[in-house]
Amino acid sequence: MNQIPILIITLPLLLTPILLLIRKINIVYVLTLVISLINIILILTLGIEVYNNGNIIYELGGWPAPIGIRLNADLLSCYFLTFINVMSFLCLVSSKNIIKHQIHEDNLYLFYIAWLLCNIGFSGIVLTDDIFNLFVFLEISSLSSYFLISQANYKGSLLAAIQYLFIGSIGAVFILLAIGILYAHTGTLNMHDLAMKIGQAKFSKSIIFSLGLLLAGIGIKSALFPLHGWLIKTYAYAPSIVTTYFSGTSTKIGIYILLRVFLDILNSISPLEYYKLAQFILFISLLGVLLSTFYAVKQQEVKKMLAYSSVAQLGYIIIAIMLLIPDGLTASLIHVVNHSIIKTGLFLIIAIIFINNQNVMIEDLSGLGKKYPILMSCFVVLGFGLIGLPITSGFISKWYLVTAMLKSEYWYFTFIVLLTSFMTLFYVWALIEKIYFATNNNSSAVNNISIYQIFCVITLTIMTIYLGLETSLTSGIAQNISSDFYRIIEK
Amino acid sequence: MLYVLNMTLFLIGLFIIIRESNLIKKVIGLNIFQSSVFIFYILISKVEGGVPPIISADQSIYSNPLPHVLILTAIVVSIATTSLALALIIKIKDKYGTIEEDDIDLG
Repeated sequence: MNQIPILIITLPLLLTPILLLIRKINIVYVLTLVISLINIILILTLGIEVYNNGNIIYELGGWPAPIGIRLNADLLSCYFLTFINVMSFLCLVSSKNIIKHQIHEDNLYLFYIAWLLCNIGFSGIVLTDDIFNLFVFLEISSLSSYFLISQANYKGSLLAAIQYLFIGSIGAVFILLAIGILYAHTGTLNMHDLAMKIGQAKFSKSIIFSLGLLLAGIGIKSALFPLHGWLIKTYAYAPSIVTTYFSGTSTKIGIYILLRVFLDILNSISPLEYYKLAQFILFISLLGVLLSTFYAVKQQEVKKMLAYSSVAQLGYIIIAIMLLIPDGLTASLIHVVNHSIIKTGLFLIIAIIFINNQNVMIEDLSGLGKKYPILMSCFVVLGFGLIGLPITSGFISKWYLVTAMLKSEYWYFTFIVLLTSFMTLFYVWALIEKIYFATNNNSSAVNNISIYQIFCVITLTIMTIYLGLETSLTSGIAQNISSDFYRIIEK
Repeated sequence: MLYVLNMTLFLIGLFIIIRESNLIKKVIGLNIFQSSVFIFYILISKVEGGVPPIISADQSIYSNPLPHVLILTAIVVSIATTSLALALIIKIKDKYGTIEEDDIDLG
């Protein structure tokens, strides 16, 4: 049982060089799927064990904590780990005949290897207990994601990839410098050790400088409002299945690092209270939510519309965290999972139907309701989830968000949440109207949709409805996590 | 003083990445930017009066070897980033016929 955290990282890592030698795309694909499935089983076992018996700590090489590197699976890690790997698996299952049209044949096996590496990076970030290790895993996932984005044969893909490479590297170097400053102050890299020693360290301006660097670096990774430019380009120009994958995972990893660093490691110096940092982020994100919802309404291109909508939803998540009350953290954790499921589902449907298009315009959706009744009814349910209508999981997260806001001192923000939800209705309705009430003039949509792809979409839709009706799963775990966090803070 | 020079290097690198349109120059900027942080790590590892960390009988103060090891990892990451960036730039040159970011026409 103790070995599971390391297995989650090393099993796929050991497989990647073997895949590099095999090269046969069919075998590579099957092995990738198998290892992802094994990973999910391991993660679920780990999650249940952690939920019942508390943290599982694995010491690499048997070296004890401050000297050696540890992996620490706590409830927050397992929560993120589970949905990231499930999303990755569902995207992998439906990827087969989508990427054939978008990626050069010779690179297909490399594509899956990079995908595995990217997922290893994500899992590593979530599991590690060493802050420098977090940087290394961040770079593993980032480097493979630059490769994944560059692989599409669209016109802007290479440019989007290299621009993301520059901005992503800037973010990573900011985080590296901040880690260096924290290390200079405390002399340790272990997260638990750091959390204890940072409170006793002599306080100085350089710690504030490192907080700023961390915020900028994490902000880039999680597409915090003014730093979201890369997300729009990346989502528009990456292979559509990669967009699907990233919409549910990569920015959520940014949120995880934000939570881990600001609310866990550094909470003894309450980093979010300097210069009213929390309020500053709160207002910036609020502006971000308003503006990006507005842009989403204006967009004619479906992928860009959904990308702007992602920025808005990430804004909600960050607002909920920055309320700095336990209910806010609960709301943000619930919304992380719900949004991940909904957005992956929406992007997946677009990716399945339009395998040849680079730009999917709203017009292209005309009359698809008759052509693909199952997929499109799923689309409508997921769209309702995005707006936050009852019986979908989106309603639950909006509900928790609004409740948390009413309990905090920023109760007047609820108006803006309601306003933007209403604006969300506009752009989702624009899509639904085209799907069901426009005449069919469509030729670019494909016919050969495999049963697996439909299975994935239906799974995501059922998850959305299930989490909308049976809330004890997400909200129970989220409440556990947030009460853990705030118990430490109150001490 | 050394830290001021170090941060100047940091800002020069950042400025080049943001300011330049030529992708190769951007990569050079990125390298300067990353190197400045590597030098920062080396700076913090120096202990006043310390010697290289090889245990000997007549010495009791050693410099901290850990940042060097960390930076070795970070340098590997930096090399990977640079090589990926250069590979992408070659592809960009093939596809668009230019490496000036402003001249690339996506229209």
